[in-house]
Amino acid sequence: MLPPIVLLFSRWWSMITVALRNLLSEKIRFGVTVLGVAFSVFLISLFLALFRGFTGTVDDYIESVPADVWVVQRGTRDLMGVSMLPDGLVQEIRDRGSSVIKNASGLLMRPTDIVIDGEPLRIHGVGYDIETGLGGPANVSGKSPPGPGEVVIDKVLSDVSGLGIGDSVGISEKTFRVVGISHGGNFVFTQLLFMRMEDAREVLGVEGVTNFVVIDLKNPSRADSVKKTIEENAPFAEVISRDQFIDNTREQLTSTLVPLLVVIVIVGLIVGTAVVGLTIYTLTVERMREYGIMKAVGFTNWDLFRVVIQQALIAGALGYGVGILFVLGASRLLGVVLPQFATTLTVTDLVGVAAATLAMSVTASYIPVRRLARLDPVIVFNP
Amino acid sequence: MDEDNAVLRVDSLTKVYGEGDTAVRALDSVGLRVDCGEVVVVMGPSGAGKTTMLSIIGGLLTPTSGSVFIDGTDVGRLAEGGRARIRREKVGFVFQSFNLLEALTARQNVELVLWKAGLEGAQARRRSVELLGMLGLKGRENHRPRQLSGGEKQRVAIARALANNPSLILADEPTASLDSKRGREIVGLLRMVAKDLGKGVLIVSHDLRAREVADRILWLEDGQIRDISDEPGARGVM
Repeated sequence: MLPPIVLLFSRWWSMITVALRNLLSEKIRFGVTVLGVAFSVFLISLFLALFRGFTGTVDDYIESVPADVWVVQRGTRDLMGVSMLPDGLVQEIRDRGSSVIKNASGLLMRPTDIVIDGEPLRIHGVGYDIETGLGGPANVSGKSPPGPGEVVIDKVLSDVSGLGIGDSVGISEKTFRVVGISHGGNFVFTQLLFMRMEDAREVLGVEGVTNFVVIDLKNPSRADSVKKTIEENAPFAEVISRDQFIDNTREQLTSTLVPLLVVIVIVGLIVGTAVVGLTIYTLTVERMREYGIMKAVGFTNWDLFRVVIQQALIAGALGYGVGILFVLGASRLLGVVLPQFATTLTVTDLVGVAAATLAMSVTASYIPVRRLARLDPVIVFNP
Repeated sequence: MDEDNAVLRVDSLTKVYGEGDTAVRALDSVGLRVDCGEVVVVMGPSGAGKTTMLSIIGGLLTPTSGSVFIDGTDVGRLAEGGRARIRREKVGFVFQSFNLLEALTARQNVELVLWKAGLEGAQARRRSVELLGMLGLKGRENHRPRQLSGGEKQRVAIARALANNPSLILADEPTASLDSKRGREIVGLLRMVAKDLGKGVLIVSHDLRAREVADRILWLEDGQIRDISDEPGARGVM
């Protein structure tokens, strides 16, 4: 006699055989069902991967800046907001806070067009203080900091534009030479190009103004008192902690995507449930007599329900596997064709989509199961 | 007859469909018994209530009144789960249209009921191959129903009916879909099941060939049953 757990598995597996053979009796229909589920899984997972990739990417630049607080124009909340501060504020902060501030620098950041072979491309130009390096490029291959007339561009910008080290790029009728490739400056819809503050003032056209002031504190625990002092002395300015600035920027960039993500997930779930449901329902109606036979030879309603649910789960599991393979392939392809679209699929996401597929399969079984519950086994006596 | 020897005992079985003026009395105080090793054939015209009777005996339909005892258990008193257990453990069905699962092989059709009974893989396989061999289907175990002839399908159905070693075999028009030769083979097998294996066999049939293997012949008409075994012509031309 086999142990109970083996017996249980054996019985479970036996019923799987019935479910699987039912499904495979119409291979084309089964294939279409699996593809239908795969499409849903693909839709949900790819959008989730893009969303995760996007939210992960937009943080990278701010996280790479070794600043404890960001000073912005009052009312501005994030990196993409309009912030105009007087240039003299940087020096004032340095002078007044020399006891608590390790470094403070102005940062110019504006959208602008670069011209490559006569074609404009919209990017965000960043002018930074090369003495402190605050707000400058991270993980640079090539030369950093850039000299006069030189720029460092983000890796994704390099991939998108085809620009490489040694190439020339036009900004506001001035030509710059690319001397380095950095990482972490991709915002999907725009990428960063770094230059010296002096060059930025010339080509970005903002004399006497800085957009942000980034401050590296000697003791980060003093951030609140620094905030209070600066906001008292410069009421037009607002001091935001690094973490809050990251959250605000992420929220600003992703808030428009969340409703879209919800819609995509709902559409995906409806499509998947409808495809599995239709197939399982058709299969159940077609085999109503066989279910009647099973009932007549001693199977209970629950046994029959189990066969139906197993059919839906098999279709769901295969669809999930195929869908995830499609997503992995599409992510790889996207990385080559549209490098600004970073994709990230976490284990949690994979488990979440698997749970959604499971729910989809069980939901799809509901109507067929209800139909079976009303099955009169006397059907087996009909010739 | 020895009471303990009864596999099936039906007492005052009545089934009424509908109510009031439209009520139809399909079975009217039917009583019968089938003993171990006995073949009982129920004959009668279409609409006489034969299928209704078989459905109630098999626990697929509940009677309006009366009792059905299988191996001493009152089937009518059982809930759905209990009736399913009786069908699984005590009753084997053989149907007119074979009723095999098309997606499964002959062997798997037999194994199906063994799986439900909890017999594990290798044991279930051994038992089903042994039964199919006994019924002359050696070498046809892995064929699907569509690859088998009508007679072979009915043999698979008999093997499935015997799989759980039930006490009672209920056969509904088992020869109706077969030609004369195959039909005779099938009723011969059902007699063998009764005589060699000691099962009680109740056959409902229009087929005159079924009379040839019967120990007793019952006539069901207008919902009432009577034993015609000893009536003139019962075993010859009706």
